[in-house]
Amino acid sequence: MLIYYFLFNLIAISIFLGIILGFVSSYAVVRKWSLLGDIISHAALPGIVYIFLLFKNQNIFVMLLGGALSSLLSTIFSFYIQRYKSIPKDSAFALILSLFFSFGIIGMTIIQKKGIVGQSIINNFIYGNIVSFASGNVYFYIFFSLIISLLFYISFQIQKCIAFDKVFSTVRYKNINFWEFLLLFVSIISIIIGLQAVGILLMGALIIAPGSAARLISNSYFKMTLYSILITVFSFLIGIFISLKYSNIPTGPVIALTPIIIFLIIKFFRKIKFKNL
Amino acid sequence: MIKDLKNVLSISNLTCGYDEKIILENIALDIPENVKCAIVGPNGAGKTTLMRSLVKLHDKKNGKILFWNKDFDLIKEKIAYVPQRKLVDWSFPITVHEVVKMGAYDISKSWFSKIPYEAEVKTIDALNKMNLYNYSKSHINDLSGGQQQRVFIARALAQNADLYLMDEPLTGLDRTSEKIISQIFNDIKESGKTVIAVHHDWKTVKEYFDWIVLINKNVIYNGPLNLSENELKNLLEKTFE
Repeated sequence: MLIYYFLFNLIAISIFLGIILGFVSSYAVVRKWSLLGDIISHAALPGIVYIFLLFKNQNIFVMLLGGALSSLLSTIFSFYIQRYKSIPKDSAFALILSLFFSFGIIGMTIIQKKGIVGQSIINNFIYGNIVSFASGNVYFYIFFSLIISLLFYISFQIQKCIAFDKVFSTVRYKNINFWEFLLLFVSIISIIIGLQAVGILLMGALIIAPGSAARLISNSYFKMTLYSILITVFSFLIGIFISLKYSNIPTGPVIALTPIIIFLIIKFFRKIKFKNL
Repeated sequence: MIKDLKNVLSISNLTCGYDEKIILENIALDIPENVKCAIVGPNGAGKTTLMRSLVKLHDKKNGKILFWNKDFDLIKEKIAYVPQRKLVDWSFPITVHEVVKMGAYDISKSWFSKIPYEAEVKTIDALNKMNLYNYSKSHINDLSGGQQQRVFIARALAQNADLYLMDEPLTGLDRTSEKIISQIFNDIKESGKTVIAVHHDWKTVKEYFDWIVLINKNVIYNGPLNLSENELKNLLEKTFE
């Protein structure tokens, strides 16, 4: 009986995480935020680690909150630095990513050297371990996912307008800054929630790949988002399935690998189609 | 009828730039209502910076910009903006109809409700005016450069504004699009409204406009375009030197 409960939790979590990360991926790709996705996930590490060090607290939610705060800080840095036209954007982003991540690694080393109990939790964040979800409070995540999905759903037209023409939207619409910030904030929260499943190192791939693959096969933003969600949910389910079947294979990397393979397959078949035309 | 020469735009002491660089210094400029005004100047003269500061896309360092004596934020609805074409992601999956509809209502306010009926009417009206109705369902990246520019102007028309601010609307167009846009400029003027556009090509300025602002870091000339060829030539030489 317990195993069914465990499986049910795992599948429920996969579906809900897949939905919110699918939304995020679609939006991030059209906003050209691929690098930012990487920054957000890597920058969560110092937040998680230092909250753990400071409070010796193993409560997942407190650690996630720390991660969200440092991710938000890195995002603010990233946007601020773009104001300076003399600094190339990609160098600036790479610097911010390394800055936050190395701080996190320093903290991790301290934890290891001190031999504090509960390091495995931190490792779960880095490499991802979806099983850690299933033993936790599933309803909390489902509740969060529903709110986030609702926000993405009602702001759909706004996402489309900002993504197509940010300049015009800023001039034309009154509350656009509010919505842009809200969408960014919600994206950060989604990424942070997903970190436990996919891991800090591979989260970037899950932000880029489903949206990019979906874009190849869609002629509207609506379809693109829909496919992006389907691909992400599918990737989560494949990840669970494979790691349950072959206990040597970790879930996180499989989840990250699946949308990349889907992307490559679509790209390959489209090429053939174009050749035939 | 004597026209009331109200100023649609008045700028005083405007200085802008980014980082440490100053692009426009201490600009003062008044543009009357109901003109077709071209902003002309060499590359790097600050035409686009000026346009972007008008709509608050660019932080000003100093100075005042007023539309009908009001701040931009208070009168946003009445001002339609056409950004430069190259700034947009043209491969984005969106149809012509959807783009034009962006101008018709404030999406950020009516996010939960259905699209207002009059927005749909305005959209179709604007599509017809720009001769784009047959392309409504087409994807924006299937259109030619000139057609894309017309979509941008249609989006501004759908807003039903009193002032149209356009950044290089006539750059790189085919003859048909040029004609349609020029006709729209006339329509806007006839209905008592105003166009202010950045224009790159001083040779064609007389074809489309009846008011000219020459700038190169600061304002060199601001007035009606009823100048003789010689006067215009002298002014242009002064601007482009």
